[in-house]
Amino acid sequence: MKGIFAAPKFDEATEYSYKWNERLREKVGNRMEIIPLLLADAIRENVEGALKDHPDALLIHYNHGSEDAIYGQDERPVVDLTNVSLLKNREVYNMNCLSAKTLGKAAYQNGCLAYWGYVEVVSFTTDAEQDFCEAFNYGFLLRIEGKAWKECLESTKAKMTEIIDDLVKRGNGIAAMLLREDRDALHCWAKDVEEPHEECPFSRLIVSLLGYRALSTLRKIRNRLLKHEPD
Amino acid sequence: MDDKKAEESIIEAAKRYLNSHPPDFKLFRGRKSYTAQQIIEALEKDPKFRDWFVKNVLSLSTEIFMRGKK
Repeated sequence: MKGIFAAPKFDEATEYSYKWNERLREKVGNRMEIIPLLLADAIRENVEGALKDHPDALLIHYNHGSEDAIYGQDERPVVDLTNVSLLKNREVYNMNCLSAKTLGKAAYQNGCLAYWGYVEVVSFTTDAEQDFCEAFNYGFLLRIEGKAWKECLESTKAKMTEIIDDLVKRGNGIAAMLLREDRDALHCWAKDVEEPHEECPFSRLIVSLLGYRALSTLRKIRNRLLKHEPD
Repeated sequence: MDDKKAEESIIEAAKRYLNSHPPDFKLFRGRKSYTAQQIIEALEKDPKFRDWFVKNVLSLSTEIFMRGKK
């Protein structure tokens, strides 16, 4: 098994995501081949190059994300709706905000085998960073043990609930409430796990005719015109 | 107790709780970060943050309540 580990670090929040990715690499380094794209190397051109050179590798991204993009060291997207086809036939594990919402769905619609990530903004506190690290890394450790994605998701959510209970017992209510929110935002788009489904028939028609990128663009225009909260 | 009073009591409890946090404590929410003092200020001045915070306290307590003794 091979993994492209993309982990930039450019602000206070990403100091933590980088540290968590570092701990993950230490744990899995003897069980898989690591292709590191760290810090200044974690930019779009390098990620695209690595994805093309290693079509069988997983992509593991720890940094900021938005609904339709995941970001690199220079704060440009390393993957967005314009190059999402590079995720075809591979598995993607994310520790970033929001990207499972639109990018993850689009990736799955474009042939990505599994897209693990969060559909809301991810939160954490510094006084429980080891607990959050354990929760965020847990699913990947199960996956490299050979567990199916469905089991990885169910077991990770159960683990997160265990950690939440422990945080409550330790009197750390704020960390517990944030991890509860993170747990509920965790999704895995994969066959037999969760498959994206647009409720709105008009949205379904646009996706089937023009793809997710067109739907996302139309939603952005609608949100700007109507000053809607993004969805 | 009406909703407004319940919300006020959550905010007051949160402030007392946060006042006991060390100065290096931070809460990160996406790209934003807050010290304990900044959380208290946001609870007082930012209705969106306040709604998000209260909703999360209620969601956690409801979950624990529904799971039984914890």
